[in-house]
Amino acid sequence: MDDAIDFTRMNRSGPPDDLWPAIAGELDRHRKHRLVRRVSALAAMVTVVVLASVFVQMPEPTSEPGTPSTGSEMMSLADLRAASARLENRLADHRQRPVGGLELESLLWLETELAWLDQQLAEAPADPDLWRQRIELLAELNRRYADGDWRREMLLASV
Amino acid sequence: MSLSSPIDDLALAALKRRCRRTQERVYRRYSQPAWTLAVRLSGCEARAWDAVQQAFVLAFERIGQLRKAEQFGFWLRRILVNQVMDQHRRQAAERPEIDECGEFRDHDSALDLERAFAELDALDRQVVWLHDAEGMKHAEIAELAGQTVSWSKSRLARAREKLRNRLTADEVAARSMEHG
Repeated sequence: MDDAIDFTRMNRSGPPDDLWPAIAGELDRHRKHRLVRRVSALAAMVTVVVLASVFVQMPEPTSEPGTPSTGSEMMSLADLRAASARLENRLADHRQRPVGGLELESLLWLETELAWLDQQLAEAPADPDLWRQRIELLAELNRRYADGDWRREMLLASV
Repeated sequence: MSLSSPIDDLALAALKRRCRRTQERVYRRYSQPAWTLAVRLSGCEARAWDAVQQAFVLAFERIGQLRKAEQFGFWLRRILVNQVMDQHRRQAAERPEIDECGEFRDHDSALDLERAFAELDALDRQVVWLHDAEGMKHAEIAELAGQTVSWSKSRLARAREKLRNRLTADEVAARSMEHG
């Protein structure tokens, strides 16, 4: 250390007076960010707990074959026929409206599927599985017709 | 008061509770040596301001990592030196040839140690100050700078030589002025 430079004779100035307020301000900003992060984390945790409890309380679908449990599977044959009729009435309204070319191909395919299903039902009119398939198909057709109609209106509006 | 002075366990516990009054007391206690160190290493009060501010904020924010109260000063010094070295690296990467803070406050004499020290290259200044004024070991300096011990040794020798040469040159110039 003999070679060391003697720095003790150099001036040692103090920090500016406004340095501490700047540090305190920065610490306050960190504190606020920390608080926001904690609140966000807490909110996320509460959401997860609530969703988990909702899923836990939901009834489990029964796995026994042939036992109706959810949606259309819980309906009786009369209910299935009534639901099918309601959907068919709605479909009849849709069929009166013009359909865009984009949806036409898929609609024709679904209509063919419906015709084939109706043939099956003519042979087995009390088959609940066939009625459920019919309900699903009618719902899908209604949705496609509605989508096609909405897109057509948008196209007309943009012209 | 130097950066190697310890704080007590009560102060450390209060800092861990983020007690603002304790933070201010600790700042008041260490701010003078921290400021001197930052100014000497960075060669510029504006950069020293940023480094000291960041160092205290980091030290208070990460106080949970510190186990022993008596280590606080060394720990703060390490954080501060890292801040200054990071500044230097950033500046070197962004604008390698321009030193925005080249103008060091000029004191009364142009021949004094202060002036000669300020004229040193940033790395020379850091190594010679950390070793000769702060008493840090080569291994410690090398680690902070991300270099080897031999790098620190050769840098120190070179920095001292430059410093002495400048001081000698200034002395000769002053004498020749005195004698007309």
